[in-house]
Amino acid sequence: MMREFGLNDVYFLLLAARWTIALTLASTLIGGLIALVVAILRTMPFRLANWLAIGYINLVQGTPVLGQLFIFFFGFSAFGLDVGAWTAAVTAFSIYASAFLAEIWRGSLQSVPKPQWETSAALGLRYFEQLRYVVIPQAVRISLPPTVGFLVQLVKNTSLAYVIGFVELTRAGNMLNNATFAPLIVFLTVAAMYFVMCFSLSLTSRKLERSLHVAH
Amino acid sequence: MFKQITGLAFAVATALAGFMTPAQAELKDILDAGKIRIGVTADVQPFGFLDENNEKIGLDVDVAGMIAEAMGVDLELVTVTSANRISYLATNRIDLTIAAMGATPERALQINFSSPYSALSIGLFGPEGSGVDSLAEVGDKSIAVARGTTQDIELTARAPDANISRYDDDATAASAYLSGQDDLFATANIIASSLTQRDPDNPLKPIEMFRYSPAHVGVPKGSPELLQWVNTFVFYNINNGVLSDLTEKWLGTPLPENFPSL
Repeated sequence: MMREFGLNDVYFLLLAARWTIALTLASTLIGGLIALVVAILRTMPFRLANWLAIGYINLVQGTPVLGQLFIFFFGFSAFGLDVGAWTAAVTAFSIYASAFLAEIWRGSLQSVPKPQWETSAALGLRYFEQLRYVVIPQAVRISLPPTVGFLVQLVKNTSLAYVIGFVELTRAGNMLNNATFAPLIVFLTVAAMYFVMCFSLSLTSRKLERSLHVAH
Repeated sequence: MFKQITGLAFAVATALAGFMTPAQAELKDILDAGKIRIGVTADVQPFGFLDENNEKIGLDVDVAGMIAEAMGVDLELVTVTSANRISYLATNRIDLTIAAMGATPERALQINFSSPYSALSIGLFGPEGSGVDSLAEVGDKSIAVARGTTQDIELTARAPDANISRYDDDATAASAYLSGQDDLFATANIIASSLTQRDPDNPLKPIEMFRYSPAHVGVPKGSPELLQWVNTFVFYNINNGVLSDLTEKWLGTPLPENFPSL
């Protein structure tokens, strides 16, 4: 009954790894867009916007991503909204990523020295022009290492999507383990695939850092 | 900790679904749609698992195919896990669940069970010369078991003070036992004999068989026509011996003469 782990299975895991990558990419893109808005709201000189952003960040960071997955998958379907596993997972991880990226980027925006703001104001730039032309370009360099650090976490955290039946790399490994009862080889292969993904992310980041000439 | 959160979340999801009760698919809706969505596992040997080409096969997959054929509708197999098979059914993501599921009064509060279509023996297994001949002699030896399964419920009821290690599934529990993390292994006899077959030098000896554990089709609450149809389907295929042959094909032994019905 129990079969051997074979090349076919490595291929099956590679196919599943595409979903890990797709989920990470989609959540990074959507989450990143939301995070940009939240980070700006969080830092702009307007109290109400600050509070809204702080509330959002705390709400999302203070609840487990597992719970968010359940809310979007089972919660919505209980109200008659048919949300697929992919939609629910992308929604949950986008929101999860947005809160953490917003906080990372807020820190980066605020660590751009005050005189940069003042100088650009003195040049007659308006708030969003100061952001766009002076502050963000500098903040991007500062934010690169922590952002990539978070993305590496995100790659690995997408495995939580298995709870709503989304078959990504870890879940596929789980299924193979139950067909072969050979956990060592199955999960070593899975781990190797995660390593390739995360390590390439780190390499890209290092390359980017160099090309952006981060001085410090 | 993580497990508690998962368990709690599923419980909340199912309870929530119970309150909301979305419109359940009745027999007529399935026939009108020309398609039935059946939840099967992809990680429970020999009921629903992956073959060499990573296609889903197993006893439950075969039964799902028979049901779709008998209804004359297309089959959509949805992968469920032991943990979410009830939530999926209660939130109308699937029409039926055929996932090696045993009937319990607690589960029956949330979904309905059909008459059993197959059964497996569950019990406690250990290495040769473990010095344990019954559940009463377990002492402080640790027992590996797959969480939330019928064998887990049975083991917990029979030996509440035992040192039980609960794992995600049978493969993980088996690994814990084989690697020496745990001393004994509570599982289905088919899993124990498969493991023995693979490594005849380290056979798993039955210590105490708990019981014969029938597997039922899960049907959503509020679908009496569908439940009645599934019961008729099971009754018919028990009587003509088809389900017994199928059980023999996947589990090694046919169904007993006086197979119970619900």
